[in-house]
Amino acid sequence: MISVERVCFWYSRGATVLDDVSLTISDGDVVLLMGENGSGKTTLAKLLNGLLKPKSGRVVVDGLDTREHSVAELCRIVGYVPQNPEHQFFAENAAEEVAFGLRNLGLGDKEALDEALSVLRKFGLERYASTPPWQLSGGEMKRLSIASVYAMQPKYLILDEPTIGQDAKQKKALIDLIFGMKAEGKAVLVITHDVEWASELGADKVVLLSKGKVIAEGVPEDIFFNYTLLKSCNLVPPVSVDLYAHLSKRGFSVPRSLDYGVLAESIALKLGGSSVVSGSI
Amino acid sequence: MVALSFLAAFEYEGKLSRLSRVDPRPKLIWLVAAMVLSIAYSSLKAQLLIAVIMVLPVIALGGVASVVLSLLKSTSLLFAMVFGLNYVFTRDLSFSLAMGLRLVILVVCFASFFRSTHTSELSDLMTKLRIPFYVTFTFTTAIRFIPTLAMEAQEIMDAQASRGLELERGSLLRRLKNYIPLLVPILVCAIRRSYQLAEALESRCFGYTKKRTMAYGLPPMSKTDWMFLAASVAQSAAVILLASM
Repeated sequence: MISVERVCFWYSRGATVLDDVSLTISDGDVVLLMGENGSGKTTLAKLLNGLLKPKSGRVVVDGLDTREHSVAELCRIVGYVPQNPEHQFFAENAAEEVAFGLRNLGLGDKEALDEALSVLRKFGLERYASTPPWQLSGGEMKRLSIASVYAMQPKYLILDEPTIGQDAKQKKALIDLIFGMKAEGKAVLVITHDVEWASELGADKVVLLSKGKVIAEGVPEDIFFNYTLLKSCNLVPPVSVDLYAHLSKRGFSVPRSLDYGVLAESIALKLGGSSVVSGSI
Repeated sequence: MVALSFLAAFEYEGKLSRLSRVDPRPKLIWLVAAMVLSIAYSSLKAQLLIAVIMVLPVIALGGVASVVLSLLKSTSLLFAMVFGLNYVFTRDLSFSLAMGLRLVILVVCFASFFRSTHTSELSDLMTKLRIPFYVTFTFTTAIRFIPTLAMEAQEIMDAQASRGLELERGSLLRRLKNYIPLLVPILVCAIRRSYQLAEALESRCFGYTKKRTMAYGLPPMSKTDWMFLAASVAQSAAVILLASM
């Protein structure tokens, strides 16, 4: 479990970025961290794997206080995928890029490369194994950066804006990957502004951060249906919520759900249509 | 991890200190004088004279004592290297100390100048010196991008540390190799950024007119500026006189 306890943080010459933030991420949780630009999301993510140390309060990862442990120790437990994939590429090809973290964990050359190829396959990047990372497209670079951290098999994975540059198919594949990790008992913290994708993710919890404070925490339905909360974080509700609001305003009583399938089925039944399996077309 | 916070010492601080309110022309003359004297003399006595007569008063005027201290702390390894290498090759303690001090003087002078001079003042100053605009623009843009590049370098360090990179691990050769995962992305990102900047400038017609006009230039020098200039000349003369005694 990751426990953030009353953490305050500020950079050397600036205002407070995080103010009395408390948060818990349990094993197997998929948590969405959302908020307006500059609300402190990335800073909070960097506090979780020890890249930044809290000025007050503490962050405890599986019983380890991040102030007392190095990033090298903590990165075995908490994997962090930065927003800009270019910030981590240096190897001559994609396979070597993925193998880098594995070698840092102590794996031998052959073992690391074999594992790297298997991870590339999982991410649909196997054909780029011997391609320089900078020759990949933006979306592929992003996937490679996730793959290179995923390969280290951290217990907690932090994804900073993972959907940037991803097409619909890859966004769906990302959801499958996240839930694959969840099934393995691993927790994933996703930082995103992509409300539509976030509403489809089916996270266990959504945390809203605004001006360095946690202003709301709850299940996706409670957060995404709260217009005032979303507006205070410069977020717009997903289309399913808008659709629900418009239907309700016109006297249509439909279930409060982020799933289009549920809404469609309810409307179809009211109009005398037939029921279909939720979510399928 | 290595922190790049020392680069903040070269960032413009705003019009906060008395030094930052001085015209860039006399400040440039002071910088050049201190630099030339520090390079021209190699004795410890001369370096100490430059530090005491020329550098310390400007640090006081700029109110940058704490910044200078943190700058010296974060670059102490470099100074130790300069001192150590000189001592190993010359076995002359006084000379080695002088070389270390020379580096300190140069770094502190540049930090004091850039910390107290806005890039637009620099640009006006260079234009006044009849330096071609493309050179002025390139130079001031490079200065302006230092904090951005430092921030990007810090992000790269964070990204690599998150994958278990430990710079201080292993033998000397291993430690040097540990820097490759930092240097390659820093270089690639810098080159990419320069291409993006060039394209952005060209798409906004940069270089369309050969002769540029300036709406504003440097204002005439005030009494304080002239006093600063006179003090710089007097300081330089005092250093030359005392050093040759």
